[in-house]
Order: sequence, then structure tokens, then C-alpha cells
Amino acid sequence: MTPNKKVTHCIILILIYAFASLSCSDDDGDSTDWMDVSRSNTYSGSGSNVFLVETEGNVHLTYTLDLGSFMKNVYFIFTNTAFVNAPSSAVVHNLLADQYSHQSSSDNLHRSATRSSVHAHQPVAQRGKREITEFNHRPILTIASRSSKAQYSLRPTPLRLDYEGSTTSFYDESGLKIDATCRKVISKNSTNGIPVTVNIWVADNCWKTTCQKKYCVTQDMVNALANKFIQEGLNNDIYEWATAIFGVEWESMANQKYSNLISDTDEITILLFDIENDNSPTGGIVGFFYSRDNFFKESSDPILKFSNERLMFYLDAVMFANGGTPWNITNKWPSEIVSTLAHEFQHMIHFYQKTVLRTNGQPSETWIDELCSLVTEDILAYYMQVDGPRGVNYSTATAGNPYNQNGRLPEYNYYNDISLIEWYNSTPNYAIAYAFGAYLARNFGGARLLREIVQNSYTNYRAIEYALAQGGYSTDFATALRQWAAANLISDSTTNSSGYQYNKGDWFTSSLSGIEYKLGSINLYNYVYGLRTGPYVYTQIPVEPQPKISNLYYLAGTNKTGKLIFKIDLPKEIKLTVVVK
Amino acid sequence: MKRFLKTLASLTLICLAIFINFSCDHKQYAGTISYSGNSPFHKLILTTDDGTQFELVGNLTKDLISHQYTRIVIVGKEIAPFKGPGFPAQIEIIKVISMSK
Repeated sequence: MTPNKKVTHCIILILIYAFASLSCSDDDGDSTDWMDVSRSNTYSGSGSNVFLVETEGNVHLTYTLDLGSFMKNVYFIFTNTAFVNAPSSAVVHNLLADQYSHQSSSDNLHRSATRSSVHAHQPVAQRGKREITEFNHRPILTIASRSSKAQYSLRPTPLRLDYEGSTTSFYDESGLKIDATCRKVISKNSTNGIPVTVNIWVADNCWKTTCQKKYCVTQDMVNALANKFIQEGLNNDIYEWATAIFGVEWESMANQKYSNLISDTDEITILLFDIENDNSPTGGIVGFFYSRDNFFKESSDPILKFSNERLMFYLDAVMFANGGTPWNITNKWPSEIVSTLAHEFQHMIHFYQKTVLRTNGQPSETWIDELCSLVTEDILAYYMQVDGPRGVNYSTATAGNPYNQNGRLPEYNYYNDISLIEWYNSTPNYAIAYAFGAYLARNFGGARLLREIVQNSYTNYRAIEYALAQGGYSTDFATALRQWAAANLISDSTTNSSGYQYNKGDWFTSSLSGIEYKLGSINLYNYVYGLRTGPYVYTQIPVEPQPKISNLYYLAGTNKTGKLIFKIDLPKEIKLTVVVK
Repeated sequence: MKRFLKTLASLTLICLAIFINFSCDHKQYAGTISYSGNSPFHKLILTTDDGTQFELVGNLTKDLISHQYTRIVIVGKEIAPFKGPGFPAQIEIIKVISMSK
């Protein structure tokens, strides 16, 4: 090689290296640089104050809070608004006291263990199965090549021959056959003129005359259940209250879009059987909806070969029949079943209105679908006459009484710092999804917000942002998380401004399709979990990195007055909200 | 010469077998994982950069449960096509190449 060629090659190599170095950006744009910033707020002098402190990037924040002559408690809420775990937790230094408020790794409060214990939490009564791994690790069979779609389009949905006294076998969720008898058929024309028929089937081994269970279903129980879901008249049953919010559960459009979905039908089937065959009258799985049944049967498919080819959901017969002597649908477990009716019906509608119609077959993230179902139980509690996840009497508009151990909120208070969006199928996941949904519904339009969440094409947090925007709210998801957290801490007041309300001492009302929906007030300090009352607030920040999309509540000062100065190290994922009360 | 040709033929066959085994039905997939669908039938979903969704199945999924909303790169084999709404194509994970924190 001549000297000139050598030089040319060297120059080319240098240029390539230089270009590569300059064009390679930091991994994900992350910067490890920390900036010194200052922020300050002044207490207004009345009531509770909430300050959303705005920062960008990793910051060493000097935060000044002037309380004047007022003596107040000061709370910091750290919100991880990112979809990644923060690399470290926030660190708070109170400069006046010159003390660290960051917990050392050797000082292990019980809360450190609690974050991991969410995965192992044992639910009592649950909508849906508890074992994720069981579902995900089912043997996968090799599936024969798919038949052409034309085969499905020639198949109508099987004609229903449901009549009271008819018998058939259903497949349960794992493909086992359940022999059952139709115990009730009831029809009506709903408010929009669309006919609807509900067929209630009871597993033969759960029926009074042939029952092998601890509690057995009778005709009176079936009639009472039917009456809750559908009855003569307008706007007076779960079917109408739910469809008025979310839309109808099925239409011919389903089969037109996907030819292997069952054709239009106006029939809904409810199967009462002993879910998981556990013969448990006081816990376990209360009910479920399985979209498998919305498909035509396919013998070569390991899942679809067990389709019941119906719009249907499943409820636990033994729990339902455990209603006291004499049996009454208002007793605890029948009430759980009624609430579950509404919960599972939302899943059924959600599947059609979103997954079939709007998202090219992509389902919502689980926390969103469950949030919608839990708030459905909440918003229909008044009409269904069951207490619902709020845990307060359905007819009580106020936040109820202290020492309340009912509903979802006691557990939520204890686990209020877990990730909202990560799903481990434990009751704390349901609890936090409900708590966030309950906040959104009370602050951003109630029934209309729920409709907008379901009837859009987003399957993640954007479904909520879109719904907020449709309602005319400029609140984005991150801001909603922060405002929600503040609403937790000030829920003992009934005079908070919009956007921060869990509690106004009265109903939160919303109207849709001529129906007025009522949501009762919530005071999180009324709820007791074990020996703890109210929201869990740290006095020392855990050392573990803060989970994605989560809030952490920290008591920064008690009975403080004058000017407070804090130095806070905030990773870029974490935003600070200050609550003075 | 004969021996050389035999050896060459054997090596070629071996290389071809390896190539076929690892390239025909094993592919690399990259995207973010999350749980979707109503409980208890929620599925571990990989959403690729172009928005395509796959359900992840197999023994290695248990290692991913704690990494929801994490970007991962895997090698997998499609074992079932898209069935319809709520039932995306299934990928059996052969190997997890990387997981972002």
C-alpha cells in the first residue's frame, strides 16, 4: 500500500470513529447530571394547602416552606411518574435540624418487607383466579394450521334452546364439564328498544335437590338474582345501569369484524357453579368473565375448543347460597355476588366496546380493565343496594363512620405505595386500582368519564388521559397521580377544591342517558387495617427504589411553624408534592 | 482427497443444520412487557416497537413477572397465531437476551 493510500485509510477510520462517537447518544437519553434548584411556597393561612413542586431532571432541591405563624403538619408526597422504577428513592434533609431523613439499610422498618409481600398476599374473596403462573405455564400444544375465515362466516351462533328446565353441559375455565339446568329465563326490551334475555343456569351438584355442597341454590335465590340483573321496567336493573354507561355488550359488528366471534345475540347466560370446586362459602373466586366463550368453538385449538359459544359469565354458587336463614340477598355473600355481577358485566362490555370494536383486538392493560369493573361496583352500589368496594352503606352519602374495616380501602391504605400499574393478581392490586378509579370518578365526571375510558382506542394509561381530555380536563396522567395522592391525605376534609376531592360530605352525582348516578364520599381516615388507621405515611423513607407509577407519603414535619428549609435529592423520575394541613 | 470431500460435506451438513435450527422459527423480538386482559385470564404481553402484540408463554415468563413495563429483547418461537380479539399470537420464549432496568 502506498503512503498516500495509508494516510487516506487512516483519515477515513478517524472520521468514522468521530462520527460514531458523536452520533451515539446516551442510553435512553439518560443524564446522570444533578442540578441545584430552589423552590418555595407560602402557606395561605387557611385549611389544607397543596403545592405541586415542579422540577425537571435529577435535582438537589432546596425547598423553602413558609408557614408564617401557623402551626401545621407538613407532608411530602413523592410520585414516581415514570414507567421505570426510580434508581433510588428521594432523600430528604431537614436543614434546620441538620438531620437526614433517609433510612439506613440496617434500620429496616416493616414497610420494606411489605413491598415484596404484595406478590405473596393471599386474597379472601376475589374476582378472578389468584395464580398467574398457573395460567401462564399451562402446557402449550402445537396448533394445527388455521382454517380459512370462510368456514366461520357460514356458521351462525347456535340457536338457543334455553327454557326453564332444559339441561346441558358447560365447560368451566379449565375445560371440565359442568352439568347444569336452566332455572330462569327472563326477557325485556331495554330502554333503547333492544331486547335482552338472561338465562340463569345452575350446576346440578349445586341445586337444592341434587346438592352436594355446604350451601345449595334454590329457585327463590335464582329469582332474586335475576331480578337484580334484569327486570321489567326501564332503567331499573344492572343491565340498564351498566349499558347506559359503557354501551352494549355485543352486536353484529363483532362477527363482521372477526368471523370467528359468535354472531349477534340478545341472550346473556349466567352460570352458577362451585368455582374451583372448593365448596367454600366464604372466600375464593367469586366470579369471572372469559372472552373465550365469545368465540366459535374450534376443535383444534386448546382454548377455543372449550368455548361455550355464549355471552356468559360465571358466579360461585356456594357463596351465593350462603345467605343466612332465612336466605336473604342482602346478606354479605349474596351481596358480594350481586356486586360481582356488575363487575363481570363490565368486563364483558369492555371486551366488546374496546377490544373488539376499537383496538384491533388488543386488550386493555389489566389494571385499567379491573379499575373500570371496580368503579362499576362503586357507581352502581346505590342502585344495586349493596355496599360495594367503598365499604360504606350504599344509602349513605357521607363518608360513614370511623373504624371501618369493610370494602377495598383499608387494604389500600396499607399498600398505598405500590405501583398502580404492575399486576400481581393480589388483592392490593385490586385495592389500589379501585382507589385511583374512585378518585377519578369523583373528580372528573363520574359516569361519563367511565364511558370515555372504555370507548376509546387506547389500552394503557392514555385511555385515561384521553377520557380526561374528552371531559374538558387538561389534567395529564402524571398530574392526576399527584393530585390523587394529595386527595388521600386531605380526605378528612369536606371542603377541598375540585381535583382533590374524595369527600364532600354528600353524593358525587353524574348523569348519563337519563340516569343519575351517585358516588358516596370517602374519608380514608375512617378505614382501619389491623391496628393502623388511615393512609400509611412514612416517617423515614425506605431505601428501596420507588416503584414505577407510585406514590410515597412522608411526614416531613409535625406541628411546625415559621420558615422551613429542606434539601431534597430528587431523581428525575420522582416529583414532589407538598401538603400542609 | 476423498477424505477431504467427506469431511467438507459433513461440516457443511452440520453448519446447515445449525443454521436451520436457529434461524427458521427462532426470531428475535424486542419491546415492552405488561399484563393485559381481565383477570384471571390476563396475559403477559410483549408490545413491539411497531405496536404488534404477542403473548409470551413458557417457563421463562416467570422471570419476567417482576419486570413489567421493562423493555426486553428475547429470542422466541411463534407457536400460535393471532386467534382473535384478546388472543394475540403466542411466542414461547427460548432465551432472554436483555432486560432494561
